This record gives sequence, structure tokens and C-alpha cells, in this order.
Amino acid sequence: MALRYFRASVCSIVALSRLLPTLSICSLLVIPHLIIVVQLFGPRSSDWLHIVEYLLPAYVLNTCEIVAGVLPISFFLGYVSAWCIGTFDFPGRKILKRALMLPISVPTYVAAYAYYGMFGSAVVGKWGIIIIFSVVLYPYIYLFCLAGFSRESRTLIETARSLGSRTFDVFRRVQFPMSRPALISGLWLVCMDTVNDYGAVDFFGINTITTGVFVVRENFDISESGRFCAWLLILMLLIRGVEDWTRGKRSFSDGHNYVARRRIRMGTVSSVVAVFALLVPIGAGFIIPAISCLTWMVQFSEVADWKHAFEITLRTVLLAASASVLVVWFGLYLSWSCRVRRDTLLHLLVRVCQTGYVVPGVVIGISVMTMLLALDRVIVPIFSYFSIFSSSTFLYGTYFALIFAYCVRFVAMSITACDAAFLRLGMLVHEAARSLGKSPLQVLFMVEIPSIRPTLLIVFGLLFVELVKELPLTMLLAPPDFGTLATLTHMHMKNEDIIVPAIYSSIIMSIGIGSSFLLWTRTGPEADNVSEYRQNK
Amino acid sequence: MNYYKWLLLFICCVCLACGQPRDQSSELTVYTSRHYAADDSLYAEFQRETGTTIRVVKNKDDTLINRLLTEGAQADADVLITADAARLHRAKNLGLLQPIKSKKLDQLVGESLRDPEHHWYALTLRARIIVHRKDFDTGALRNYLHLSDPQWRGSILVRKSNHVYNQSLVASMIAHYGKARVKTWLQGLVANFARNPSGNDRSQVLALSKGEGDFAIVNSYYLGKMMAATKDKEQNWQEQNEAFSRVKVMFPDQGLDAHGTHVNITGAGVCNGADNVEDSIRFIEYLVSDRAQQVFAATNFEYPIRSDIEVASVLKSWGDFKRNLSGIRDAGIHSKQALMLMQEAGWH
Repeated sequence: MALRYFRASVCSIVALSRLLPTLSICSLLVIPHLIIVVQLFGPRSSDWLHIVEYLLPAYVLNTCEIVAGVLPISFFLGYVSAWCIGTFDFPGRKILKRALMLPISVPTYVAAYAYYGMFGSAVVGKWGIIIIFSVVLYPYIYLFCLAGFSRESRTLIETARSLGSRTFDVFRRVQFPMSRPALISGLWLVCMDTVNDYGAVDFFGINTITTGVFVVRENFDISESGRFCAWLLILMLLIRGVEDWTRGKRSFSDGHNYVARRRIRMGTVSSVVAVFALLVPIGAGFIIPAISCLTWMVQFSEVADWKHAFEITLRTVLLAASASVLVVWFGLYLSWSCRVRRDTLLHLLVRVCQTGYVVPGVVIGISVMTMLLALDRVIVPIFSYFSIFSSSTFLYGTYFALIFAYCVRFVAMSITACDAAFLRLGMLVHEAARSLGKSPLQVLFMVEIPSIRPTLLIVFGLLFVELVKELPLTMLLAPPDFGTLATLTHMHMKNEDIIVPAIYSSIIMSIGIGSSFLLWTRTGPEADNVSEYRQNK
Repeated sequence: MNYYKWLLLFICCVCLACGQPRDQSSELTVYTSRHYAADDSLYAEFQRETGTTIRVVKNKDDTLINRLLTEGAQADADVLITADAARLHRAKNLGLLQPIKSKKLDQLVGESLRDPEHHWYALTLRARIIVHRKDFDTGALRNYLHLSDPQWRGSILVRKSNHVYNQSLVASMIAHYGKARVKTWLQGLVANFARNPSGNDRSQVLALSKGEGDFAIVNSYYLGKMMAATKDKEQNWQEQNEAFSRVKVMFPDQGLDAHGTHVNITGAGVCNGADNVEDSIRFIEYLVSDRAQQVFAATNFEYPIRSDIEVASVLKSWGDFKRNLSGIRDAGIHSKQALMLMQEAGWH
């Protein structure tokens, strides 16, 4: 009897110890969120009352106005272009299909800088920023909808046709309602990127919630900015929750027959019209910013400090690459743990980890900062007592802090992608390998990772591009002498220095385009669905 | 196996990105928020003359101060150079700067331009002036207070309130007129704004020249820089040159009994816990020397802190003016209150 209890308890300890690495990674990634929510219950200072009364309403209103402007315009651009590409056939379609994605590689602050350089103060203002965000962010909607259009059910459309509907009616009554989930996902990404933006709105002097966090952080106490962020976090989670709830359990596919649809061939005149129409978003979102940055770069190439530019590029690339590797690993490991262990607590924790991508970067920045400063207050005295280390900060303001913050924010992307890949792979492979006598970890490394390698590469590539252009988190947490391409672009933009931003923006854009190109050539058609990996389910 | 490659790649990346360890003894780490080419040339010159290597960390003022604050005495910074007395005052109050003894500095830097307890010394002066188009009739406008007059509805251009230049201006006004009067003044001023505050000081002048407003409140050195903008440095240089040629400068509060135009400074102090105090003092002394002051005046269009150094010819053409030197210290004391008053008045 006693032996049985002993055995049981040993077993449970072993089981727990197996879960330990996963649980610790999870809790590490979840703690910043918890800390920030705890801030809400702290004492209220008179500064906070001032913030609520005079700052918050204006900031929230501005943010809402910008989002409300960006969503319909980017929807129009993205949806119409996806519909054209997905429904019709015309000369140059294949090139345009790819080219329409290009604006993704232009960070919003670079676009703002380019437009300001071209049109001067005429674009400074809310309408300017709305247009700029729309032309740069529409590809999210385009990508999702395109995936939806090219895979939509032929049966449904042909049924509608045979019942006498014309092209536009089919669109209005079948295609549009069917593409709702894709559309919502795209709109959600656009909304998040708009709220997350710091560089462009700050450059144009518009006060949004994100710039508000910086204002509060610079002029008041850090706990005030923490509380500010907590409200922001709750707001974003609420919006997300409402969206999930309205979508409910309705099904948006008939479950089979996802055959690529035959496209309608266009006449000469309509082809020309279509090509020119599709060139508008590409031109506004990519060609204008890219050409202007490149021209300025060439114009100032003689006075530029190329050596320094090279050093900064190398540093940024290394930072982004190492952080991406780590984020991919964390995501892979967490997703895989959920796959092999059916543990409710674990699944819940992993879900919470994924909220990082829902909230703006500044919020993560402030919460990680709060967490690390608190940890430093505990660690540093211990370390200095044993004279291991003698600085007042050990974690905060280091390279490590920055990478950790990247993990908290971006791990969701990696988890979502790995989840999807594992789902496609199925459990049979895993069980077969296990029955051949391999341990779960051996199976992971020998079977599962090689099978989902394309997905991992794509996630790595996307993360890399995202981190190269990441601004708010890097600004908050990077050591002061650790400038990346993005932070230096922003700093010099604000000082109305033209040379440095032109060169650095061109480098950022080339890195973006280069990596996307590599992804397409290396991983083939799978990369076409890239934006799905950014969706946080 | 495959994952070893990734792990190795990651480790390599971390090692490379962290950079090489630095030898700290022979170098001077300067935290500065000044971002001008003129400064870089001065640093290089100091390096050549003294053999002390200078490591420059450029960032936003508040980022630097927050960094020093969190690192405390263990920070690797030796010298802090930052814009505006309010920030220097804050840095001093937070215990980030240490008092220094230098006869040369005390002799060269006037009493109102340095901290009474020798924590910081001013390096350059800028005046916060009112600019208007040459053909515009400014009527009875003589000082900052007049800007809130309802006759100037829709005519004032100024940058955002969270910029320290504006905070210091308002702070010095609080010191001079009292909180209540400044509060009503701010309400009138905000009601007179030509547009939502945006852009930096230069964009205010550009907007002014296009007729978007009638007055711009800007720092003097930006005008000099707009005049001097050339093709190889700025892509809208023509626009800037043209805007400069269309506008005229007014120094407010110049009457016999007036207290003078608001001026703000950039200044330097030695950080608490600096490894290299002697070299740090030498460095600050160098920055107020003839040579450095001439460079600041000639290439950056700032007013030198020493009366024996010649100002740039364009500044000279605007004439001499009465400076509100007592406002420099007031700025530090009232800056947070100033920001809150501005935000309450709806100046964001």
C-alpha cells in the first residue's frame, strides 16, 4: 500500500518536472501582463487624476478617429484589389498579385517621412496620417481576402450562377458574406498596427494612446504610465473579445470542394483599366516611399557616413536574427507541449502568452520595464552582497531586456503558426515514432521539426522583418547607445535631419523586400499565406 | 543535427551583437541630447588635443536622464549634456550630477548661467522669440502676454506642450506672473492657435511663411539653420531659405521695465559616479573655451554664453536684446506645473 502511494507520488513529481520547462517559459512570458494589470489597483495620485481628466480623452478620441478613418479606406483598397486579382484574368496579373503585397515592407514611419519630404506640411495632420496608414497597411486585408477568394467554394458560386445571379450579384450575395472571417482578420491586423504605431504619429505631432504612453512616461511616474497601459490592454482585449463573440460558431465554408476557381478573362479595355487601378495602391504604398528614399539616398551618398550605417545595419540584423530564433524556439516549444500534453493549466497559460500580440508594443515595453526594475530591486542587493556584480541594474536596460520584450510581444505569432503546422501534420506521425521507442523530445527533433521546417522558416522570416522595423519597444528598452536602424531613423526624422533617415529607411525596406523574396523562392506557395501566421486566434 | 545549427547561430548572434568589452579607464563617456555635426567636430578635436577617447551616446534627453536614474552611481556616463535648464535642474535634484570645482568655469560662465551649487554649467544660449512675416502689422504686440489677445484668433503657431522649450517658457512666466495669471493667459493663447500644435520649430516658420498663421514662437537658432540650409544637407533647403527671407524676428519683453526675452540653455554637468572626473571637467572647460564657443556660435547659430565671443552675423543683424536670465533657474522649479497647466488649457 505504502509502496503504491510512494510510486504514485514519484510519478506525479516526474510528470511535474517534465512540465517544468514549459511552465516556466509560460510564466515568464505571462508575468509582464499580470504586473501591468496589478498596477490598476495601486494608489491613485493627483497626477493620475490630471492624466484622466486632461490627457486620456483627447488621446483616445484621436486614436479612434484615426482607426475609424484607416479601416474603411484600407478595406476598400485591399478588398477591391483582392477581388480583382482573385476573380479576373488579365495580362500582368501575376506580377501585380505579388506587387500588391510590397507595401508591407514599408514601415509606417518611413512612409510618413517620405510623404512629408515630398509634399511638405500639407500631409501633416489626421487625414494625412489616415491616408498614409491605409496605403501601407491595406496588404493585410488584401492577403487574407485573396486567400479567401482563391480557395472559395466553387459549388456555392456555381449554384448561385445557375440560379441566375450575375457577376456582381454573386459578389454581393455569396462572395462578400463568405469572406467575412478573412476580412475581419485583416481589419484586425490593420487596427492593431494603427494603434501600435509610434513613429509616424509622433512625427506628425498627433497625440494617440501610444504617444500618450511616452508623454506620461517622460513627464510623470512610471507607475502612472503602467496604469495607462493597463487600460489600453483591457481595451484591446475587449475589442478582440467582442469580435470573437460576434463570429461565434458560425461556419463559413461548406467543408469541401476548395478547388481553385476558374477566373473570368477580361477584355482589352477593362484589362488596361484594371492594371492602372491596381497600380494606384502599389504606387502610393510602395513606389512613392521607396523611390523618394532611394533618390535622397543617392543625392546624399557623398556626405553620408557609410561605415556607421554598415555597423548599425549589422547590429540591427544580428539583434533581429537572434531574437527571431529565440521567439521561434519558444513558440515551437510551447505549441509542441500543448500538442503532446493534454493539461488544462498548460493550455490556458499558452493562450494567455498569446495576448502579447494583441496589445501595442508600448504596453509590453512598459510592463517589461516595470517587471525588470522590480526584479533588479531584489537581485542587485543579493548580488552585491556576495560581490558577484556591482551595478544598480542587472536586467533593465540590457540587450537581454530587449530580447525578452520581443519574446513577450511576438511569441504569439510563432505559437499560432506552429499550432497550424502541427494540426496539418496530425498526431499519427508522433505516435508512430513513439511506438518505435523514441522519447517525445527525440520525436520532436528527429521527426516533427524536419516536417514543419517550411513553417518555421516562414515564421522566422516574418519575425525578422518585423523586428528590423520594430520601433516602440526598442525605443523604450534598448540601452541608450544601442541604436537600431528603426530608432535612429525615428530620432533623426524628428530632428528634421534628412540624410540618415533616407539611408536607414532604404536599408530597412531592402531588408524587408529581400527577406520576403527569399521566403517566396525558398518555401514556394506556402509563403503565399504568410499573413495568416500573424493572425492571433 | 539540425537544431545545433540554429542554437549555434543564435549564440553567435548574441555574442556579436553584444559587442566587444570596452576599456573604460582611458575614455570619457558623454551622454548628450545635442545632435549637431558641429558638436561631433568639437569632440574629435578634443580627442586629438588631449588623447582622451570620447564615447558619445546620443539620445533623447529624458531617455538619458531615466537611464542615469535607473543605473544610479554605477552608470558608465561621465558627462551629461542636455538641452534646457529644467532638465539639468531635474538631473541635479535626482542626484545624477556632482558638484565640480573649476576656477576656469566659474570665471567664464556667468553666475546666472550656472548652478549655484556648481552641478551644471551652461554651454550655449537660445532665445525663444516671436517670428512674423515681414509685411505683417504686429500692432501693439510687445510681449508674450499679448499673444493671448482675442484679436490674434487663429494666428499662433507653436510646437507641442510636452517639448521642454515650451515648458520652460511657461515655467518662467509662472515665476514672473504667478500661476493664476498664466492659467488665463494659456487659455487665451490656446484659443488663438492657428492649428493643432505639430512639427518642430522649423515647421512653425515654414507654416508661417505660407500664411497658415501670423506668429510663430520658436527658438532663435532654428532660424539661423534655416538660412544656412544647403543642398547637400537638406532636401527642402530652398523652401527653408525662402521661408527665412520672408520672416522677421521680434524679441518680446524688451521695454525699460520689462524682464527680457525668455532664453533657454544647453548645459553640461559631471555625472555622479563618473570614472574620470578630471577629464570630465577638462572636457566641459573645453566646451566653454574660445574655440568651442566660436563653433557653437558660427555653425549652430546659438548665442555664446560669453560676451567676448562674437555672435553669428545673422544674429547680430537682429540686434542686441535684453535676456531674462533669472528665468533660467525658474524653468527648473516650475516645469512640471507648467506642463500640467498647458495640458489643462488644451495645449497638447
